[in-house]
Amino acid sequence: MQGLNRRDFLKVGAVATTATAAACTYDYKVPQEHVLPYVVNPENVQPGLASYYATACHGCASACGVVARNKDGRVVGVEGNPDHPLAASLCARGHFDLYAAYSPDRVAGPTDGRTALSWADADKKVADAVAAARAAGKAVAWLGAYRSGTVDALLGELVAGGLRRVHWEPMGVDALLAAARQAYGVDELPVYELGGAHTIVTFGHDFLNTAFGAMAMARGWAQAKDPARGEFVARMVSFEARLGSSSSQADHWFAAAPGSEARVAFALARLCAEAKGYTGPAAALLGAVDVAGAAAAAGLDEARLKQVAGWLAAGPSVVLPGGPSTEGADATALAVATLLCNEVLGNVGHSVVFGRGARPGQVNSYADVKALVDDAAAGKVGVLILDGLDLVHLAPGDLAVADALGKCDLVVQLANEPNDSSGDKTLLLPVGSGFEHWSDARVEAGVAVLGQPAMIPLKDSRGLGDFVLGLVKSNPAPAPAAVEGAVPDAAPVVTTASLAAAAATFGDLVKARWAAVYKPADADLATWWVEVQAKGVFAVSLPVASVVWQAATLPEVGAGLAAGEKALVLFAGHLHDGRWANVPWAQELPDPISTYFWNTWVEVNPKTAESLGLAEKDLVKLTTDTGTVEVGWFGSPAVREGTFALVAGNGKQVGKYAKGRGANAMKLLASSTDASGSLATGGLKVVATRVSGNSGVHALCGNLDQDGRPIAVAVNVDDAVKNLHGEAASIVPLHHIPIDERVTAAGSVDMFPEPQHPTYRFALTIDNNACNGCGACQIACAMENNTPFVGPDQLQKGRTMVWIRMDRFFEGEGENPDIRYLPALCQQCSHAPCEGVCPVLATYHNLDGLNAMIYNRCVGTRYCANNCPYAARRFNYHTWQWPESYHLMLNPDLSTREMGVMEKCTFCVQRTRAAKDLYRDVAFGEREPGRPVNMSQNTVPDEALRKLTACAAACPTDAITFGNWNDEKSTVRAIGESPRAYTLLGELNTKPGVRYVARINHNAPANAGHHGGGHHEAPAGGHDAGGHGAPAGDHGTHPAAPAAEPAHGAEHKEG
Amino acid sequence: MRQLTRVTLAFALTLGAGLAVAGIAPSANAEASHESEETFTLGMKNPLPPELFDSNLVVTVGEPLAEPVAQPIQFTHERHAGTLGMDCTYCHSNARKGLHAGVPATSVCMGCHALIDTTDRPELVKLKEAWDKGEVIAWNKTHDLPDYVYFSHKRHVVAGVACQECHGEVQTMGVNERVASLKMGWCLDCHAQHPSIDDNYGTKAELRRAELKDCWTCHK
Repeated sequence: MQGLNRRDFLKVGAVATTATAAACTYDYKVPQEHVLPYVVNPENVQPGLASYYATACHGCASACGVVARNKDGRVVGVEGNPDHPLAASLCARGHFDLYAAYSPDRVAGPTDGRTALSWADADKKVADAVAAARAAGKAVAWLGAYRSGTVDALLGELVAGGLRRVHWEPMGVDALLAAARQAYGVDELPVYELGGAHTIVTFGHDFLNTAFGAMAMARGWAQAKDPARGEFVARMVSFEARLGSSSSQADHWFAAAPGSEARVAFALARLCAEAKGYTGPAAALLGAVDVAGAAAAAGLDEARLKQVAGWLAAGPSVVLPGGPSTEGADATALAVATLLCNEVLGNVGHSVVFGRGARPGQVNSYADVKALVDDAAAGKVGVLILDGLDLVHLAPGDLAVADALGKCDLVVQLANEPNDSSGDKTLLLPVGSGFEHWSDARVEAGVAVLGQPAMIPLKDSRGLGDFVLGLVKSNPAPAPAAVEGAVPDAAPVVTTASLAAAAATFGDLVKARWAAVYKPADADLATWWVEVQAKGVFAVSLPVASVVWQAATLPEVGAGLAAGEKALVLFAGHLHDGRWANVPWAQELPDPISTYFWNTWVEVNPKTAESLGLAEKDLVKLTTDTGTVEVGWFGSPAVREGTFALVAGNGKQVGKYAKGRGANAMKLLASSTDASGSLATGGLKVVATRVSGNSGVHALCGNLDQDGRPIAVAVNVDDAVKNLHGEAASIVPLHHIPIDERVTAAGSVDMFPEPQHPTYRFALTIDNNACNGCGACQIACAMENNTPFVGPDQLQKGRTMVWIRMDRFFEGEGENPDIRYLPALCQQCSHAPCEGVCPVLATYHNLDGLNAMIYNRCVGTRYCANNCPYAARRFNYHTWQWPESYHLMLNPDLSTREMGVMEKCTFCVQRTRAAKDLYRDVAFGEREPGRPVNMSQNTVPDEALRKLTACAAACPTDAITFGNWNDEKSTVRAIGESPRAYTLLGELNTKPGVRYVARINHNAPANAGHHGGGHHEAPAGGHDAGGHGAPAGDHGTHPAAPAAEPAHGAEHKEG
Repeated sequence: MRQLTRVTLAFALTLGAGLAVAGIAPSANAEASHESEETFTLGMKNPLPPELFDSNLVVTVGEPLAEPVAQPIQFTHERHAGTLGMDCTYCHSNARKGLHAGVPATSVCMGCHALIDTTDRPELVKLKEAWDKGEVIAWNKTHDLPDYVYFSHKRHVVAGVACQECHGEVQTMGVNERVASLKMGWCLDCHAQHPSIDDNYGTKAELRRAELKDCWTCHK
């Protein structure tokens, strides 16, 4: 470009422009589009209108309900099922489940890896291999993820016919289930009811994200933290070496040394028993517990442990078990110890409930997996059916799975796309997704979800249930086995075998089995089935069984790591155990703590990093007895010194998007198990060294803290509870720069005229006290608004396209971690800095209070993004692609954007438009002939707006509320005017439509003497020139925004 | 080497943009240029697949059509809506319910045509054959709004806008024509002064007219 100076460039440009003007007329030509009508119109289908199907989520074993939105034949969106009694919302991974259904890697049909097969050939191959294995005396084995419901029952039939069956998940519930057996002699998981707890203690349970039943616990957690519900705010205490998303909102963090958690929990149980005066059946066990020794081993202060016990004993409480990062060699002991804590506190039967039969089908431990793999390696397994587990990727470093699979005669892989476990012997049978085939799942004895197909299968797949039903039919069991009838009031004696024999398809079987198990005796089958299908969930509340402590001894607890040894703990990020590694949106969703993406990284304390001499782009080489990985690092103040917290999920060899991303954390694990056979994922010995190089990790959130700026604000718990009923207008400690008196005197505080909002002023509130950074809103937004993934290279350049940014700030230190999240989206300002600078009026303020963004007008100057103080705008540096078949799940309600166009959050304008359309229909429908429509019916009511946007609908803790600020009775206004509410960067006087509600911290300094910024103070006056901390001066805490207008449409002037 | 690739990419994009300004389509080279492997296809490709388009046929956007669009079957509105006096919404039943008026399913045609003699009527034979084979009839759009436009037939029909106001005197058309330009200005002219706004909204008509001028009323 050296030869071309500016003058020459302008000359060329001028010629080009003239030529363009001459060549183009106003009209232009487009390709002829077809309109394809149906041959026969399907019932209840209207082109362009969505249909909704209640179905089941199969993202994990929790069996949440899904409402799938089918538009013109394809499911284009998912939301939680509000009829589900336990989980009314979906987590981020529940959304990945739909993306996975459209994966470009999905195979077209059955394949042996080289050639495509017909289903008939595939069936024959399986049948022949099974017959050959039987003849040779070899085992036919099933190794898979947890399966409940009808599939579980069918597999039970096959066990009677000789199937060897193992269900395991690497970060599963086996330790907790073993502990429940030991402690109470029950074969089910405890259900944790967090809603009423005043104190919540966690030992690393990922109870808000990946744990079994997380969505129910997330809701309970948010209730316990909401002062408006009971005039208390749960105090949360965490005993773990690494704070993750679930425990990041803890008020007190005791970084127990990895491996010492079980001892700490036993010590806590003893202290609680003493505080509570417990004399129950477990009392005799507590004498042997060494409190001082446990505190010393964990590196904690005994007095502080006593204080925690005091909090626990003082009121309703719950003690949560361990999670991946704390479940080491004492995983079962830790779970027993947490149950013992709850026992002595009297929580069992109240906040820790047994008797509801909660379990995700059959649960095996890792020891069973190892035994099966060892047998396979010894040539004793003829046919191995792998269901939903990428075993080669998940196995510890010292378990030679690939060799063992090679020794089987046939490996049947039930998966939609090849993965690391696909080898020479693999027959890949695509089982489709839960959106395409019938399924069901059981959460508890009285709660089951029905998975009805919501669209025609994308590929030639056969549902998992149909595959298992085929196996049952070709291998009839010798004698009737299990008797159905889990619900007391309907207990017909029907066997799964007899139902299966009569069912032609799995869909028929599900119907027959649900009729046998769940249908009330007096209900008409046809009517009942229609109701169940519409609702998608069956729920009865069963009486809570009382359980009695049974363990006569306490489990042995190991010594843990020696002094000076470094500890490795694993944790699950957005990719969970790796099942979402091939979903690009999952890879791209930044981790809530590190804000890293598309990679594997290790979290270390900054002091540990300093002692290792780590520079920003260095790698950390982690070596255990079984493996080595080299990964980038993140300096997290929320990790104990000397502990290395490694994220699981990446390091796969196969998959368009998974291949070659990061390193496989599982290979650092050894086949070491605890007493009950659970795989140790925490408290492992590791050697860490620095490796210089370019790690390739990158944080989307560059700062660790907010540099003292009041962006994500926390308030003291007593202030929050005391000011629930409007005692103070605001308790948010914001101190803004005072406005110069001359400006206020001249009446020119506002740069822009006040916009008119005659009917709606759409507004959104985000309760930071209920946000744990889980990312559900971000992924729901991406799905609703057709936001693309951009890949790691583009993301490192900051070209993220997700409309909601999750800011994370570490504001505390030591025992008070004070981690704050701030979902930052377009604030829809009334005085928007972006609007004034657009040279082509592509962004402007509309009558609903939104900063409209018109893509067709945008010429890509990016002035708006540069002028946005919230960094809420996203620029299309490329025309991002939706590779086959992701394009089929694009939401047709809004357009995709091209290169050179700015975009941002629209408050889901397509949804508000649809809601307005609906209520306009109501108004027109009830209109008297010859009279104008009744405008009050024309307005969307609050209950239809509250969860309207995709983010608000997705939020598992109801932290996000949408509504019309002009409606004085609206929920959003009540929340937005609460004493904890504030506007972001309020001193800029942008008058945003988004308001945040400050997080409540038990450690935050009391806001004594602060009388609050006051609501809607007049811009003039009241501003103390002395400024900071002045009682009445905080202009901007509550500016008169979001420009609340009395609804006076008649006075509206056209702008 | 990597540095070189990036310079080339930047140059290709500049060149591509320059050519586009000059009215020349960017070459395939510009489309293929991207920095990482195949996984992340960047560039200027239309993200949507071409199945639904016929690139050989083009339609002029912006003026009433000079020539009618060819159709697979020479359907005549004159006979159905004119001579027989059928109501528009008999066939286009979605017009009052949804966004798209829709073209009727073949089964709707056959509701009558199963009883109508096809002797010496080649167009009806085509219909019968499509029905017997279960084939979809691929009609060509005469009225085609861009995909970035939200347009609801229901809103207009319910408000009392007659079909003919936009589609012309369809009941007299032997072959379907497009009489309106479908340009944005044409839409906005109506949104500014259509009498149904006063009828429906009375004292709030001024507010409704302001709403109807909002870009986000129609752009998505």
